[in-house]
Amino acid sequence: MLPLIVKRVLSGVPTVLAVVTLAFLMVRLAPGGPFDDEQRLPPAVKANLDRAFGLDRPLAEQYLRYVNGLAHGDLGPSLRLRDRRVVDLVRDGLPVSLTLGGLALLLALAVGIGGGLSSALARGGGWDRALGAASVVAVALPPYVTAPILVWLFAVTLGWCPVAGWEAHRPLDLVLPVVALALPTAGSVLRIVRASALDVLASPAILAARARGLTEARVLWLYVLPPALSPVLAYLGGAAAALLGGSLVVETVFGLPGMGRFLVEGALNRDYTLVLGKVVVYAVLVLGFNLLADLGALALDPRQRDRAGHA
Amino acid sequence: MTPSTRIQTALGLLLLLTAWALVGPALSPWSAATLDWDHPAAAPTAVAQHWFGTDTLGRDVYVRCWLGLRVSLSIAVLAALGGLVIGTVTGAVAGSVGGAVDALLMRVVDVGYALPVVLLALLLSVVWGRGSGTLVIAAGTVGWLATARMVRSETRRLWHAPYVEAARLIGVAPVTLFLRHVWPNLMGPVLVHATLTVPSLVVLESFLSFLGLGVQEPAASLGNLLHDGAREMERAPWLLIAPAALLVVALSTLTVLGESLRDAVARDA
Amino acid sequence: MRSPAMRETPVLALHGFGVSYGARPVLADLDLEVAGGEVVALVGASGAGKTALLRAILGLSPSGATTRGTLGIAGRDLSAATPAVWRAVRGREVAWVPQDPLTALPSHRTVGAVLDEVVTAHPRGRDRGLQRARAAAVLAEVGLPADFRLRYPHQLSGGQGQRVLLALALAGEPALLLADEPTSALDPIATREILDLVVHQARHAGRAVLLVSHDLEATGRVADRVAVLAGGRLLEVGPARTVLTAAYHPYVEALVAARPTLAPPHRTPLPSAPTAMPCAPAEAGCGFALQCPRVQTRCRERVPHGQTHGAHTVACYAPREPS
Repeated sequence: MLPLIVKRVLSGVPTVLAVVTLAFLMVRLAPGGPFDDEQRLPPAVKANLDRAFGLDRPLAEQYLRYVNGLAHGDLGPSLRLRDRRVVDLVRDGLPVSLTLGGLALLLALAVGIGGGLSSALARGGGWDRALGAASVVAVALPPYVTAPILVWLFAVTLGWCPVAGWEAHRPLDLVLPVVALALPTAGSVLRIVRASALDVLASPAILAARARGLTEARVLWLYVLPPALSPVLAYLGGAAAALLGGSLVVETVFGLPGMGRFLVEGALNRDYTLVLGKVVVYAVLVLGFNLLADLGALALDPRQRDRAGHA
Repeated sequence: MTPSTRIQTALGLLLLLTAWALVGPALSPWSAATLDWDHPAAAPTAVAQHWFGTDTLGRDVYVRCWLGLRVSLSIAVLAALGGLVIGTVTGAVAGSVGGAVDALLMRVVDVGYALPVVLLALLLSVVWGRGSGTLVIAAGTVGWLATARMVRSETRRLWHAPYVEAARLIGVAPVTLFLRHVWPNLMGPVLVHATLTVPSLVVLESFLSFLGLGVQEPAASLGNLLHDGAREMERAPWLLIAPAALLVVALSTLTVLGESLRDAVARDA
Repeated sequence: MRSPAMRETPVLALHGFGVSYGARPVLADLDLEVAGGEVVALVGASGAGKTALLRAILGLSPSGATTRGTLGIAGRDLSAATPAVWRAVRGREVAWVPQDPLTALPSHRTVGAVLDEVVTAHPRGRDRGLQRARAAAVLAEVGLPADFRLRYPHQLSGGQGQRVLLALALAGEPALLLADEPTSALDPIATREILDLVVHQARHAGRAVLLVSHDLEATGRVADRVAVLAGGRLLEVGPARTVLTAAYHPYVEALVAARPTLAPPHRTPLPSAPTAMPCAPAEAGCGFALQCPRVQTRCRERVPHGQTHGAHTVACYAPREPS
């Protein structure tokens, strides 16, 4: 297992580098610069700003300087918020996004796995059909549709939850955004688990386990669940990173100071370093979760351990 | 409901939706851009034949919603097809040739996965302007990545199938092996996969439009309709509910269709 | 014919037993008893209902299935047993040795984990030490070394896997052993070894063994009695030797006669084997009527029920005349 982790981490570095390079090129090749929209600046001042941030240097040199900084853990200064360094912005925003995304992920998994299993066990019954319909609708409801509805329903009309904000770190603040974020993922997980659990339940191993006189609870927990979870892991590899990378819409609607807006705002403002900072974090999250998903798959299916060396 | 009934029902519903998206707007006296100053922000009524109501500028929601569905579906389908073609080629090559080519191609796919699609869409929109073309390319990239991975693993599996081994042992040339044994068996899973990606591409497209990166005003796509609807939700909830309902119905139908096809193919396997 | 370890009441007792999956009848009118220390081979073509019968004996018929008649295991009437009763009976009074180790064993658990689990589920006494000893003993009983506990199913050969399945079945010390085509996927040597192990359970441990197979010959040689199942009904039940050499039912006769042998005369054409019987118990008449050389009018109208001919029970209106 450890050699696999080391191997993956090592091979992840060039991937992140490639991503950063690509993003760097993409952002810089777009017309416009970070200081263009400022109120009419005298060209001299603008030129000074450019020089101060090294933007007048050749592109290759800027790239190398950035990568060098990256290697030392420095993501550069934010070009828009000029007294903040990107690392600090990330340090402030990442925990928020991680908390929000992490809770959403847990909720989605709990609801999805529980719902999927119970659906599979109650196959064809009213509960199964109800959950099936609910999950299809959930998948079709992106957070940017559900967020305002939830706010209107629970915060404005019913007053159960606060409308927005994160300042006091009250748990109640997170209920609505977590639900909005988790809903489509929960729907997907439910459908995946249901299909997978149905396959497993029909397998000879389950029949054999029951024939040995084991309790249904035991059969479910030890014989049905582990194989049924394999497809979920494959799905999660990508979905988790999206959840934890900070959702632009949810964070904006609920006024949560996470990393979601770095990308869009940064790109629109040509705040190159901010954009690249988010790209780096996101890439690391994606690779990290892919690795976790693969490790999880190994844990669930010993057959793959023997082949892991040739991954 | 038996599996084939479910497939037929979903397919029928999908065709109905598509047909209505094509024909429906013509049934209304209104067009997408006409501003009905007499009935701004009107709730759905039979008055003036604004069946879904109007938005704050007095534009008919019914027409805009169905046009929006047309746009969203066509972008998603185009992106799915593009991603399908490129992804299948990539995956098949990677899975068949193996070695350094495989490693390189999959590394490219990894990089693609780690790059946020929103960034790509943003920058494409800056370079090429906002609109459907940008969306198709951005969404197509997402489709390509998933298809490539899936086709690669499927191709590798097929190459190791006993009947391919047998054919190889009697001296069939690799190209023939591929064309006659591997490629035809890829088609089923690939088509099912493509059907299953369309819903997520519709969501992606509407998200990008919601952000303002896609179809621009005054043209309608479900995404920017939802954006407006969310903004006006308290005063004119139908502006959110109508496109949301349409989105939900379209996505549900596509999802059920894709999953039923997948189950049917798996059963025959 | 019967081992001295035979008990008074039959361990498995089926009387008028029938199973339907929903509206479709799968098994009908089964009368069969298996005593302790006896090996009864249940033979039938694919689709005859062998698996359905095993599942019914375990109370594991698919949902929507109904049963008729009586089913008794180790003296307990299980015809209308609750799930809780079944859980107590399965593994402990009756155990199943499935057909394919690779699919019947969970791929993510070691042999040892699964074995310990069975022993713990059916403890004979509270002593943990005894349970551990039991797990070790049963592995040795099937001829596997103790370090096999650490293996995963995909690390077992076909024969080893089959032994593991047998060990799991024996761990609860059941009175009735259901061996489901235990040798279908094995080479002749492994087949021999597994059959020996199974038969040993009857002869020396006094268990009742129902050995299911489609191979009339191999199982007929090791069994005490043979029961032939076709079209969801028992066509003939009798001592193994005489079923193989002097069957009464025309279907069984045809089945036996179609076996290729190495004995002369080689060059005479083989009689054709009886083609597949209908899968479901026919309602009107005997399922073999269309192919039977001795068919009578009443064969097509009424289902023949089991009649005694010597030591055999035969469900036929025109059995072979005893010579």
